[in-house]
Amino acid sequence: MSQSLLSAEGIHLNYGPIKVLKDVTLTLEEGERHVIIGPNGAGKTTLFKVLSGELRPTAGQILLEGDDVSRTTGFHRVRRGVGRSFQVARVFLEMTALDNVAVAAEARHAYEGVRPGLWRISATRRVMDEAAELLSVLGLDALRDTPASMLSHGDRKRLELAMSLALRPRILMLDEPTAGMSPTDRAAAVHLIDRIMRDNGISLILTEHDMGVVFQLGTRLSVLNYGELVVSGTPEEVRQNPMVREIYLGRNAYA
Amino acid sequence: MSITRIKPQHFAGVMALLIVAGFLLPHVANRGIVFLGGVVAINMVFGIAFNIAFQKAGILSFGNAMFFATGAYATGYMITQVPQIPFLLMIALSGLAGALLALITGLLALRRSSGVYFAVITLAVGELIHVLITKMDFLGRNDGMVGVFRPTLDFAVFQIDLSQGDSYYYFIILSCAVLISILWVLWSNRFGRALQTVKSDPMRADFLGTDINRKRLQALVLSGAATALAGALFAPWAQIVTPDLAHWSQSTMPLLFALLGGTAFFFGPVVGAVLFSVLEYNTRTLVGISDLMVGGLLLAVVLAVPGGVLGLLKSVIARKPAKSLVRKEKNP
Repeated sequence: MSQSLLSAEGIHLNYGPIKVLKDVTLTLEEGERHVIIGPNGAGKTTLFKVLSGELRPTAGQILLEGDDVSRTTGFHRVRRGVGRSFQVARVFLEMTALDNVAVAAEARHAYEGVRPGLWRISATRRVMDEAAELLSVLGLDALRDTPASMLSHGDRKRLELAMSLALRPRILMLDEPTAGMSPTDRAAAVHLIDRIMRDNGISLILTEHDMGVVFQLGTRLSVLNYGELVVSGTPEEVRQNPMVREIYLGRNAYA
Repeated sequence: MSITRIKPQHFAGVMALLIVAGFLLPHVANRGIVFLGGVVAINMVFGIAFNIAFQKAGILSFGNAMFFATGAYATGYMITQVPQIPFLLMIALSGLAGALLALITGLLALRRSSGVYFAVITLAVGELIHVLITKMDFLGRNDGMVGVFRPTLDFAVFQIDLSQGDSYYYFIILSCAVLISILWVLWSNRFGRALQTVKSDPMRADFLGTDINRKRLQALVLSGAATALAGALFAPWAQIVTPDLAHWSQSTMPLLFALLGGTAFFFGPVVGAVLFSVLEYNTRTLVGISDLMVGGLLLAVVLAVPGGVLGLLKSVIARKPAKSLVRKEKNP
């Protein structure tokens, strides 16, 4: 069996007596776009946090290219090529859009061991070029000198995506990337994500509520319900699965 | 304002002004004021060293007096007991002692606590150091150390006797200028920006691949080292080192300088240190109510101008053009 890029094996997570995740196992293969879906409260975001390193699982293993990273935290996994976004975009509000991406690129340079001169004060030319290029890829050129606190919700999401891309991740984890967007913005965001993932050969894990987005982006779907993995498969397999219909439409959907 | 494209001209201009003012002081003022001038220069470093941890990394320490006292006692001890050590090495070793104490404090407390909890721990450790100093014979217990003379700088080919005239004063001005410059570089460069991300949003910084615990520890060690260096310069200036330097009330000083001048600005504590000394000097004859007046004025400034003096200045400058713009639009 070939090695998965990222795999979670038998993940349990308890918040005190509440069992939020029960024996969840899933994998992400190279080039895959794996969407985690499920009703509200199913544990999608919790699973997302466990995969990214924000939460430590109560039991189970997270393997990154076969190495056990279960006990490592966020920055370790980032340094191994896992980038992530947050449900409500987290950007540095007091900084301009360009500076936000620049400090992200600079953070990567730092952990990759790139040393600017000892007395260098401004960011290096390479950092600024990378940041400017990412802003233009995401269509934020016009806002480069705008403080992030003045950006709209959708622009902050795009800015956060630019910051994640500045880390040159091999796996990108997006938590509800189109939440709160208008249908037009949503279509544009899906198109953008699709293009960026293709252009950069990034494998994707995302949680999403909008079924249109799910079926446009996903190459593999996993359905969570009450903390358990109900089914994992291709979009077509999941669409045909009677249990999924039951979860989403209710027991009497066929009546 | 961009934090990735820094122009050093402004900093260089302000530093040049400060150095010139420092060098002019002995020519226009009496010995008492020159002494105060040296103390103010040292307090500038004391204040900035606190503020780089507070403003940049979000670390609130109520125990910086212990780092200052560590530097002062280390230099005081070496000057009185082992004067054969070169003076510049004494200062460096004192800074190292402060860094070490900060490292220990940080390793004990920084991972487990932050914000007010960390502040209380530093307050407790600071008091512990204060009590330890008063119990140690070799540090002079409650009496401290007297006769901390100003040594000679030996550069092999030539020597500078710092005990002559105002030479130690000039040495303080130049040393503080160097320290402030180093702190400015660290405030402004990639290290400073990384600290800023850690303070602004630790979770985001973590998921940009920054080891936030390590960055916080580095900020505290830097703060402790720079504070101890300020203390080291202070010992031969006062020529006496007492346990008061480690008292918790000394830890409030850099915080007051920073708040008074404006914590958001690199030069905030510089402005604060100058203003504080001016206030203190002008109320020195009002025995008993001097502390009250200084305290009351500080309270008033902090409550009325939360951004400090520089914050107030900035908002005044920023507000004027905005007003005129509105007027233009109303009456075309």
